[in-house]
Amino acid sequence: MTLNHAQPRIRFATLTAAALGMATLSLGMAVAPSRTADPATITLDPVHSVALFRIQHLEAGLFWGRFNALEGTVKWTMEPTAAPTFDISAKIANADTGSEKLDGNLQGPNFFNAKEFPTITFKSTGATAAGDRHWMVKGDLTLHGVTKPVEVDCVATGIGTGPAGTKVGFECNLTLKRSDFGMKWGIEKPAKALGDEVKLIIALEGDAVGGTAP
Amino acid sequence: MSYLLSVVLLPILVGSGVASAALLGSLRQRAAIIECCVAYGLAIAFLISFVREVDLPALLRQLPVELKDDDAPFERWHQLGLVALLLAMVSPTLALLTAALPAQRKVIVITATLLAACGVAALVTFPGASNGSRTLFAVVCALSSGAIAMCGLRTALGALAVSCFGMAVCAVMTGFPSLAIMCVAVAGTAGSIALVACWRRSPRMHSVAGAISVVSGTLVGTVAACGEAYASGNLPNWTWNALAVGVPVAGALLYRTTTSSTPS
Repeated sequence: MTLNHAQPRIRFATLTAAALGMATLSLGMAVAPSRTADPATITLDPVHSVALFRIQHLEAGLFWGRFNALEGTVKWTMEPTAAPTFDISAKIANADTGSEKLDGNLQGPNFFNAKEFPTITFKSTGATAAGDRHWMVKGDLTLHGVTKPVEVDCVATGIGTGPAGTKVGFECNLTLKRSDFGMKWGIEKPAKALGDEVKLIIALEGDAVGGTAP
Repeated sequence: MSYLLSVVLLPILVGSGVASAALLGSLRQRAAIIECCVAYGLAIAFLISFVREVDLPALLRQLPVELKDDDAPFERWHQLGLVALLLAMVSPTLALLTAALPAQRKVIVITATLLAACGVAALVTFPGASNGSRTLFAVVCALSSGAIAMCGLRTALGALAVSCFGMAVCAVMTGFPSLAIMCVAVAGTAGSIALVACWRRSPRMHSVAGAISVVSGTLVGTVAACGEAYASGNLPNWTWNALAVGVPVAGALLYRTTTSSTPS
């Protein structure tokens, strides 16, 4: 009778390979959640990031202006359900109404008082999902030296590829009362020269760096 | 319309009303009372215009007063209201002091002019303030007060009206309508008092050196510093100081020329 040593060797090799495979798989499963939670940092491209504002003039027309060259970062995993975090700012000096005189007025002490409060900032503090790539983002808005919590309706408008890599776009909508931020000129004194309610549409685009692909 | 009544006409009525009480009533023989009421009327006109244009909390925010539910920001240009309040408080004391010590009048007026000029330059901090700008601020206030002190009452008030009206135009041009409104209120008050003074000449009112010159000069100097600090657009910054100093100096020269050429 001869002993067949080949079969146990094959079994041992199969078991070892299976064990190693299981270990690798479990290690991979353990690593996978932390990789998807690692967000990309999207640095805003000032050329393609603007905030449009709308205000009623003399109870008549709805006047539009814009803040050009928004700056800041958005952190996002680029997964449809994961909410981004925003840290963006606008310089009052970049206010653009199409009229140089009106720009000067807006930057003056009766409105934004750019000499004392040169920037508007928004920092998100949390968000709730409102749909696919759509969130209600909560955060602190600092305007005219006053910081107040606001809720902003944000949508990720797209993920594309540019010469420098991945491009990500967002659009955010917000309506606020400027009197809440101490900007009262033209509401009561002089009466109804300008509306209190200001609608903002913020278009953001930036280059994503780091993070993991969804 | 009600806005203009509130921020321009009301301050003019109150300011010129206070001054007219002294110029028209039985008090007109007393130079100290006229000096006190005219100076107080100018300062109170600016203060009322400020409070009506901005609001009372903007003034109270600068005082050690606890304001409930007030989360509006402190803005440096609101210190204009504080300066007007201090000038309104100081003017009666200064007028009574110069009347009580006629022999030391010159010393009192010079000391008060310098104290007021240096005081506001040290107290008020507009954006971009530096040692140089504070020095210029104090010099403009002192020169303006000094020039007004060399005028007669009507010339001084006329110069103040022209200076303030010029600065109102500058404020409109540089996107600061609130400052323009306050300047128009003071210009209107000064003009109204000048008209009343023309109508009822006071035999005892020979000089404005004292409360009137200190209040007027300090006020226009502070407005000029504020306008210069916040101005936007292409208006050269020296325009403000030129109006604050140049117009009173021109007024003083005009007054000195006409009075010296008039045969006594």
